[in-house]
Amino acid sequence: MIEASLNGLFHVVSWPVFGYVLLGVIIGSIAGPIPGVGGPLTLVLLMPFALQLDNPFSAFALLLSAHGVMNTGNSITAILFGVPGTNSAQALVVDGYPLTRKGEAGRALGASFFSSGVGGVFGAICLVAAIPVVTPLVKVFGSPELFMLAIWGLSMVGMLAGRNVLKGLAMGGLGLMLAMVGLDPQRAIPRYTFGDAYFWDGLPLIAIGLGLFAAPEAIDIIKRKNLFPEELRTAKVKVEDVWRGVGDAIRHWGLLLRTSALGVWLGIIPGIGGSVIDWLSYGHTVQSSRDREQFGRGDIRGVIGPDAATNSKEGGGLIPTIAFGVPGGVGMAILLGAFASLGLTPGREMLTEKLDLTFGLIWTIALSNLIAAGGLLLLAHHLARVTRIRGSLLGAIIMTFTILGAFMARRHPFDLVILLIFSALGAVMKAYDWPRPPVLLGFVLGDILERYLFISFRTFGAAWFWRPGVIAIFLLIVVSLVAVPARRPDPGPQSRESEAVPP
Amino acid sequence: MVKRLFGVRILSVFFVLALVTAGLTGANASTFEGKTLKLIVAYPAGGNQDLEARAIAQILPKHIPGSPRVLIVNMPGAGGLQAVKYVYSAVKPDGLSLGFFGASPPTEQLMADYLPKGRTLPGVDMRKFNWLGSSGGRGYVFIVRTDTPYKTLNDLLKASSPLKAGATRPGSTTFVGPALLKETLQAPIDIITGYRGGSDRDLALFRGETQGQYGSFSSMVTRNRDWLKDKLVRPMVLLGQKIPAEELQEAFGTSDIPHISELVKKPEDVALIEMAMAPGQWGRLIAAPPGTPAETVMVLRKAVSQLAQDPEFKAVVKKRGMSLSPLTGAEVDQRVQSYLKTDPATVKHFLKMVDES
Repeated sequence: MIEASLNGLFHVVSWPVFGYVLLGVIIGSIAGPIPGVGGPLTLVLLMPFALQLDNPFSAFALLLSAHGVMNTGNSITAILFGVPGTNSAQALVVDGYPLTRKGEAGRALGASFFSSGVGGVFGAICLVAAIPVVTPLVKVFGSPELFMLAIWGLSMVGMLAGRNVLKGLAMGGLGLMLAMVGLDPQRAIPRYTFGDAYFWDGLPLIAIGLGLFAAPEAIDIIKRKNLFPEELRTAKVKVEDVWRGVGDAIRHWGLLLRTSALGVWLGIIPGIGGSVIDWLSYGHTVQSSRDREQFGRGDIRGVIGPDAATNSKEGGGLIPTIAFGVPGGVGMAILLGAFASLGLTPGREMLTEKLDLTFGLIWTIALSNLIAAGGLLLLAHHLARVTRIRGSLLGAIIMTFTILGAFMARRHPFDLVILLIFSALGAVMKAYDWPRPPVLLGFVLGDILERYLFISFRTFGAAWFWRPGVIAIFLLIVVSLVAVPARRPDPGPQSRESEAVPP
Repeated sequence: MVKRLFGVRILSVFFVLALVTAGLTGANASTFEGKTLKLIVAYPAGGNQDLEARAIAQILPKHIPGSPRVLIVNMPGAGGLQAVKYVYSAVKPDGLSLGFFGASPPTEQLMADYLPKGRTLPGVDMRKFNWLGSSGGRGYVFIVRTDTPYKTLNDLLKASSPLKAGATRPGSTTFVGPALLKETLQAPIDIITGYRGGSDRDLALFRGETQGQYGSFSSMVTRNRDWLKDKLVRPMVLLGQKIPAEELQEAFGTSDIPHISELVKKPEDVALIEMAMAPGQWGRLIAAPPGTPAETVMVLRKAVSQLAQDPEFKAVVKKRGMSLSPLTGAEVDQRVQSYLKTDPATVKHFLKMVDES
């Protein structure tokens, strides 16, 4: 195995493969922040080019590094503008954007890129460790366990609501309801479709996410004329800020490692998408913190946690992809197509005769994440300057990205109407202190919950309740809810204003 | 002044006449030269069907005079029906916008008269599309895990408790196959719907959550080679296009697997199978909008059938692990027309089968 590992490394760092790694890093860093572009589309556009390369290592270097690095880049727009670059960056908006509003964009970016880098490398390491365990792991995780994971996610809804748990639960319920729109998974019966086939595939996640988060912020900026008050604008963005962010991430090394591990495990499980992992890791970050006051208002931990997980999930996702040919996510599904075209069959072959190629993949993930994190850290203070742009222009830029992102997902004009509706809803929710993250969490979990609940009953009868995996996750939920109780702040009518519910 | 304007007027009349004449000219290279041909794909980017479309897009320009660039536009909305509607009525029928659809749009039209909600795409008549070709049919196999007590189909048919088989949605290929087995052979199969797709179902079978599965033979060979090597699964029965004996032998170690056509003799069952399998046998459909000039359609049909014979294309298809046995535009047209004329009794039989499964 050592030999295969060194072999793989040798291939990845030699020219021209390394050149493709760099190219992938650049492409991923640019595409990642742009909503609608980052994600599957970039991979699909790169495919024909990659498939024509002679050396399979080169092809993978390009595709895998572009794919992995998009998870690092997606935080840029999420933090600076409140616009998630990909569906995996939604939770970053909740704490990352308020940090920018406080003038701490550099710090947020520093923490974000560093955490992404650590997460990505961690994911790559786990890939190596998982090779022997992957088969039993996949066997244990059946439909009932997937359902329980989704329940775990739901249990976090309260966490995302900050002070007002009832409002959070209500909004989580709204999210779940919205997930029901479309054809039901079991019988294909149309629900809430208004007789129109448009709704058959359900409501578009990206339009909802962008509408709820990005649009109200844009409106707000334009209203206030600037992102932040005069004093902060004139202050220079210091490089030290960025490194302060890095320091924060290092200080919270426990959280960093925990969420990296969480991301990998969740990434291994096929069926859990990037947005779910994003929210679950954010929820876990909040749940495992004693001092939860600042979450939603610019708590740096709210950036560290999700960012690490969304990068480490790629390493995790690669595991079932190469071991079984079962993609660990949408990006992996596309990569599988590339595998086939390059004559590689996922399966035991990849772990035995072609082990050096597998290690090539692992090294690519590790290196691309490191390079991207390093490069973006160096650029971070320049990126942060973007927030100095005057409000009306900034708002327009955000709205452009938002509309572009919402349309690019499915190219259906009505998606823009959905965007409009949810922007209005988001603005109202923001104004009246109704928490928005639970809506998204409920929405992304709804499909998993329904689908796998029914399949569980159909395949196991009621016996699925006693499965060891189910019980284990149930205990995990209980532990998460009670183990780290929030430090109760002093309630009182006069302090109600300062304890505003996080947006 | 009038005299000066008169000259301009004459010139503009000639100009307009020239334009009109150019417009009326047939579909020669000038129709496509330097232009971009848009292929509207009814699937999201990156999926298997999208990759098929992209393989076509890569090589098709060679066979169209003027070698236009072929650009893919993904339009996955409404289960693919958005693309159908778009190509039917929202694009110019000049041969520069074509559709790449799944096999099911004609089914939607056929079923509409028998379902309470009527047509999902009112006004779209599948017979009016100018069909250019399709990706063709494939062979299907129903497999079971080797740890079940069923060594042959007869064992399965005699089973006392139903076998669980994973499927995606009612009406989908993964569902219709087992439903046909239940209906025509009374196979004891419990179809579990709700799985998201190929890999979801594969995992369920691998874990033992389900014990059987219906799918395309070529996909299985590409995606689940380990299953075959480890002898995790055993074939029970074949449907659809005939699969060459050598391939069956290589995959399963035997080619002695019954095909449903050998087992089902009752005329209404045979008609049912033919109707149910018809979309699978034409595969992904390539269409030009109604109203496209006949000459242009001819050029495009020729291009598609030349593409199917092109060794470069065949090599790309093979390399990517796809299986395509394309049909010509004329063949597709004939099949779609006759499909839409299916006997109401058969359609009702089909609907009843889907409902009960």
